[in-house]
Amino acid sequence: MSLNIIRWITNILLLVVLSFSTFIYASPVVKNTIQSIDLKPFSASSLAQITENRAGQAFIMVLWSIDCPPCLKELEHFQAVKAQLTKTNIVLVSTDNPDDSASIQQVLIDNQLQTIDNWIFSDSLPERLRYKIDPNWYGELPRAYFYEADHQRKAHSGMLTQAQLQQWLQKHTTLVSLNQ
Amino acid sequence: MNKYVLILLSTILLSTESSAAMNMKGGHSAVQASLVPSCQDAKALPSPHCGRVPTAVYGQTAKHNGLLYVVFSQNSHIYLATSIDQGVTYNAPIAINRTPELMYDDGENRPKIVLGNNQEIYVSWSHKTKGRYSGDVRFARSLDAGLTFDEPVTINSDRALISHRFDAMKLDDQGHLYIVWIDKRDKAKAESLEQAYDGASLYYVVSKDSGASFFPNSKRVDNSCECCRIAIDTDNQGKVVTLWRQVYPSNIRDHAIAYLDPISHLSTNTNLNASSVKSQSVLERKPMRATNNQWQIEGCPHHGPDLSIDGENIAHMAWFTQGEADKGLMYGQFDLSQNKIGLTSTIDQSAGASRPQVYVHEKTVYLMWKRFEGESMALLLRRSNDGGKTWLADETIAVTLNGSDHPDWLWDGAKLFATWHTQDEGFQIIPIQPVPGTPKVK
Repeated sequence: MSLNIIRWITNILLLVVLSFSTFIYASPVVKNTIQSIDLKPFSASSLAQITENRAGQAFIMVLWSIDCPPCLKELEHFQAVKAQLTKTNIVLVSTDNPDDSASIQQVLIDNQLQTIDNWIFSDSLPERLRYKIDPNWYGELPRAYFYEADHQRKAHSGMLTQAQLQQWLQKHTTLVSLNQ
Repeated sequence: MNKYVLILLSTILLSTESSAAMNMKGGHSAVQASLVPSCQDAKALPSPHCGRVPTAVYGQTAKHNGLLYVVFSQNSHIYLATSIDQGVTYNAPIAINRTPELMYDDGENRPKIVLGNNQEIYVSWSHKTKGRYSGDVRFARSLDAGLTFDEPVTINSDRALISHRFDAMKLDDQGHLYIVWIDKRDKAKAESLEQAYDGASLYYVVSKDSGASFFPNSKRVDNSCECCRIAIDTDNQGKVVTLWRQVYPSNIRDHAIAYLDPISHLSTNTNLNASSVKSQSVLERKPMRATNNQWQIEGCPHHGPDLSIDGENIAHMAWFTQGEADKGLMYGQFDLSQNKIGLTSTIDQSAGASRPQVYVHEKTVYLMWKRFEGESMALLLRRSNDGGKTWLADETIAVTLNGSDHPDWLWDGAKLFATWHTQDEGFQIIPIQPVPGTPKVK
């Protein structure tokens, strides 16, 4: 009896949540919000630009897609360590089609990641971009590249946990403070 | 001191691969707008060159006059174009859905066309409904060789705003039409009961009156992968066989193979009533594991298999995997009479290789796939004259510098062609030259 009531209440709550999320999805994205997000087109020359802008600095470049559930979980982990993210130490690259820009921007807003360095694949031949990033990458997502200060890098396939991110951030924050 | 501990810790974390928690999409997006000059004219008619995901079939019987039929998507319509000169020119296309609707039109989820034994043309596609990944399977038919089409109908009986997509369609040798698709109704039901449910399920329908009506939706299997196309062919008895990516325990995403209609809607006098529904849970023949690469991955690779069955009832299969032992594009055989996996070999392990296709004709097996080679995308062909035991050297049959669709086969009853839609070149029909040389000895 009481179990039924609990189930009933849960269902009602679930319905409320569901209809709310539908509403979010269906609502047109406010133009001002869109304009405030800098989603740069990632072309064949973008990686060179990204590394050049970070000469002598360690950073993580993460490739993700809105069609990839583990990527969306991973973005939540980034949100959790948001206070330690800067425009320099993290680069997010969406491998989606530019047609999906509105959805991508919404996901970034939802995860409060709109102020960091965000890019979106922009090439008629996405394989070209994959190849430029890493000829040995099969396209699996999420994919992370951990760049050391000398830009030696390590690739990682699969979702990064919050603990992994925190450890990386701690290490590199420590190094920076030691250097100073 | 602290510094070194942290470095040590991060070294450990970097070497730990959580390979299950990933997905494949890294830029596998659909072909973008055509770059063919004639398509840039705003007044240009819809065409297989200018539209998206053209899919072709030859009308081999006299009733179809040897016409080439091509369905494609453009401006929220599925169009049918015909050609009398093997695709050099096309007649003005006809819109199959007169009311525009959103549709899935990427390489993995594209319109299908099947010709009947008379003048029937059957077309199916996945209509995009509200919400991410949601869709309905749509079907339309023509009984007059494409002059007119009936109003499209929705095939899935479940109409929730969830996924019913990735339709595949085939006619068996009795002229009965089968449509199978990936359906998330069971996943949705499980979720509403707060139960776990891996992947989606495969549902199918059968029509024995040329698509005028269909038997009720039947479930073929639980726990299929969510967004990989389904491969379909007929065996040496003309029965429909499907090959699909299946989610095995611990998120292992290898492939399963099965006859599509184990309850045999056609051998009994079942009608569209409850008595036929009752028998639907009985699987006369369980799906069999067809590939065993132990690929553990959370999420769908969006990279489905291909299938072609020979006269000895050997299913020839091509697929993509990132398993523990094998990575890249694979070729394999499954013996449908013996119910067991046969020969297996690697097609191409390079990271730029994708979209393998297989076609068998008598003892000749053809493989085709795309490979990005630094600057350009090549379409490669490999063939075997001895049923897949030994292979001749690879041939590059086309190259493009911009975006491209999945390649496909086209058989005209005597000759094999490759079809490939590219942004730069439009829709190409590439003849496959007859096999050079004599069959090699093993």
